[in-house]
Amino acid sequence: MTKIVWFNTTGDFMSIQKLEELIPCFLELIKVNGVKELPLQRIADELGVPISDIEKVVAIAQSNDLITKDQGVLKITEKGNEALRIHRAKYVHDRFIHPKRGLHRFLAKHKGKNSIDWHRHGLNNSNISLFYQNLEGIQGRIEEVIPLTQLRVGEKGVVQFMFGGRGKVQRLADMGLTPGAEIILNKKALLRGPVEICIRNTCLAIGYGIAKRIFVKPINS
Amino acid sequence: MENKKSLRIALAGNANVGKSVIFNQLTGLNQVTGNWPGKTVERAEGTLYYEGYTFNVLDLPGIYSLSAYSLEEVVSREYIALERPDIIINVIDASNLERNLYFTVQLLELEAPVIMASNQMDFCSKKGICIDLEELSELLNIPVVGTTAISGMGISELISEVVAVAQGKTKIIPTPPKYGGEIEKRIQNLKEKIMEFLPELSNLYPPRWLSIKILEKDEIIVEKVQKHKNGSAILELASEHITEIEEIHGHISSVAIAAERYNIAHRIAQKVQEFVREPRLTFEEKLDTLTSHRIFGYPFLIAVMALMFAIVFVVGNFLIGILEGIFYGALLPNLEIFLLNAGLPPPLVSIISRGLVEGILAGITIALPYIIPFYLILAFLEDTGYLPRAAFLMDNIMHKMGLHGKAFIPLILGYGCSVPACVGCRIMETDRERLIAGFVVVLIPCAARTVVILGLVARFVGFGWAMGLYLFNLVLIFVLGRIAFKTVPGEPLGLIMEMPAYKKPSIKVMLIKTWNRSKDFVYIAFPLMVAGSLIIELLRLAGLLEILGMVMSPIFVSWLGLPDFSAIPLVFGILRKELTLILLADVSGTVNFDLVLTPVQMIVFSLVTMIYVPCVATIGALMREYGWKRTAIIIIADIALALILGGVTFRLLSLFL
Repeated sequence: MTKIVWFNTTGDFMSIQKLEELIPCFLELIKVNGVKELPLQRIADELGVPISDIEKVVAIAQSNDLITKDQGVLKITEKGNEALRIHRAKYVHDRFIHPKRGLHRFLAKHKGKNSIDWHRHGLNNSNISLFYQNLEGIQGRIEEVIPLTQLRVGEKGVVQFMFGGRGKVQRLADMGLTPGAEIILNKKALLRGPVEICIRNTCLAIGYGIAKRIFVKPINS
Repeated sequence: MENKKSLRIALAGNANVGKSVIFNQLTGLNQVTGNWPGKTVERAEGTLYYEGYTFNVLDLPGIYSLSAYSLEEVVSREYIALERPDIIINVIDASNLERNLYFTVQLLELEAPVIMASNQMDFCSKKGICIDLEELSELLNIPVVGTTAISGMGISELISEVVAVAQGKTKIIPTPPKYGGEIEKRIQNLKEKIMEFLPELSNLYPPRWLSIKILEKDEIIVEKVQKHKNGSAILELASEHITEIEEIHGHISSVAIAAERYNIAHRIAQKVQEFVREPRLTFEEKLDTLTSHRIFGYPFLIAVMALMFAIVFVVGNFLIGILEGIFYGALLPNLEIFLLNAGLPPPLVSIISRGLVEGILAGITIALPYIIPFYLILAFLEDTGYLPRAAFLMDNIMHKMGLHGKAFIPLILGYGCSVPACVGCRIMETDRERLIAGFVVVLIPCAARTVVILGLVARFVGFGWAMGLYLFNLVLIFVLGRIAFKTVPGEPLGLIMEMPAYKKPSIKVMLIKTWNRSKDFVYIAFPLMVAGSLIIELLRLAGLLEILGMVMSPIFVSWLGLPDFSAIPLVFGILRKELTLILLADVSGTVNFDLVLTPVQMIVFSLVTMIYVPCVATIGALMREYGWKRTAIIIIADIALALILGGVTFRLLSLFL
């Protein structure tokens, strides 16, 4: 398994001060791998914390009804799934949709102000909520997902989800960008120029504004 | 199908697969072709007579889907579903099977009688792909014909297939492919309910297609269903299904359904196509790498544009030199002498020779030598596929004007003629973008204005000054585009564009295209030129020319610093822009303009010609595209701009020159 850098929701490297902050990451790992295949020791290694902390995390998660122990196997509860969904939504929103800069970043960092719902996205509410709901369906860890624009030239990726109005998402799907489709990033134009990708044997040019809202999981070959 | 003698055929398929080429092959007409997506903006119709049959052929615009998100898609699907053409020829790009099959699947969902023309087979084998057409035909349950339209291969087979269907020898039973279990179950369920409760609508559209569209939340279909009395019950059931589908797939229903279609297309493509060898495209790929390179692409783009104008200028001047010698040196004086000797009165001779003959000669000597090389180069750029690369590179800059890269294509076309450029603005997706693009496109110096700039400034002041005018024009367009972007309400859109592969252009196709465009130019422009020359000659004989000049002199002489006779060419230039130069020759009585104009006057004259109102043909195109109100605003803005900039330039340049 590859080592992944953890980010907290303000987009900084995660500084784990409270054990509670580990819970979403922990849930992600259980969700993806299941606890049977992933002993606590490996989770601890993965997160870079001592195993005693993980045991404490399990205890906290259990006491909050996020996970249950069923015949020695840890399972995510309904509430745990909801917590995970919120974590994913916050992660994607704060890191990619509205990365905080300047004052916003300062406020989030030092005053603990959260800003998940006072931004304008240029979309109606049902589209936004559907998008965040759909994040639950992503296979694999959310932290592996990056916007298309961050893919390197020549790198391959799998389309995970797209953020945008119905028309735009439909248009992209019609052109072959359906979830699960494999793409190669061919070219990037200068500055915030368009990207050229190859998908299903065709080349498409996609403007920066759209490409940064297409999320892919890079394939390490 | 019963044995009918007159059949309606529609050509449908993705953009840039060669529909227009097949259309031209079938009908012998000359629909515009080129290697960039979106040329066919209006549907074209033609007729094919074959073995006693009459086929009315319709070329639909290139689309990727039959959803409701663009006007072309809605128009196409309404045509296919409601007008029910007898045969639909689905033209596909065989080298790009999967994405094309996605559209075929949708045609089959509409239960349309489809014959597939698997086009670009030559390019396909170049890419190292081998396609089993028989198996493809079997899997889709429709006739499939392999074609290479550009060389005419497979066209006769295609026609005989069409005739076989017309004679009833081949029967097409469209069979929509089945989706994956979860979605298919819900489609079937909804389909049964629709057939039971909405019989009128099921008669118009195939019920299975209706249920798919409802599950996709297609706005137009949902609205239609709502109008029926059982509609809301159906929609309620559908919304339950939609929620279930979205829960299972984790994406909005229309994306989940698109993914299903692509799964079908992928399965079929996997079965029928085989990658037999490495693609033989090394040269094309290298060219692509260079021309859309993030850094080297830009010098290449500038070089292409500069080379284009340099070739037009050099070739044009060379031809003008030869033609002038023939016409003005030998033909015209002899003609006058001949007519006078024949006993015609001198005023009539003057009208014939200076009005009629010189109008035509001026068109041939001054306009055509620049226009023909220009059209030839434009055809070359279009057919190779360079234009989408330029659009890719320029996307960034175009965004500063609130447009995206695609708008660069009509902009380049604008250097040829403003009329196709105005119509070409339709490749922009929204009304807002079409308006901004239309506004800037008419400011681009078209071939006619190039005639003035090259024929006046480049010839008599210097090539550098002419290039300076072009550069100034680009800056002006950028500034005005930015102002328009800030004033026109609405959100800018992003770029989604297919990048076609480079193709070797066919010399024959290029020549035909140049011939057609030049012919159109001659048909439209020459009568206007002759009429313009005649009117001016008559005015001159009647002594009205001086009066007209005097009336206009406050603007032209005092403000713009031009000689008083220049008012007439500029006013009549509204008919055709190159007319300004030809009339200038008429009123000044010479084609050696350096005898009658100073360099500053030539520059100001060209600048005003370049910016003020587009010609009547363009005004017509603008009216049709944007309505008279917006057209009037554009015209007034252009005139004001031309006068202001002309006056300012005159004063500034007088300080230096």
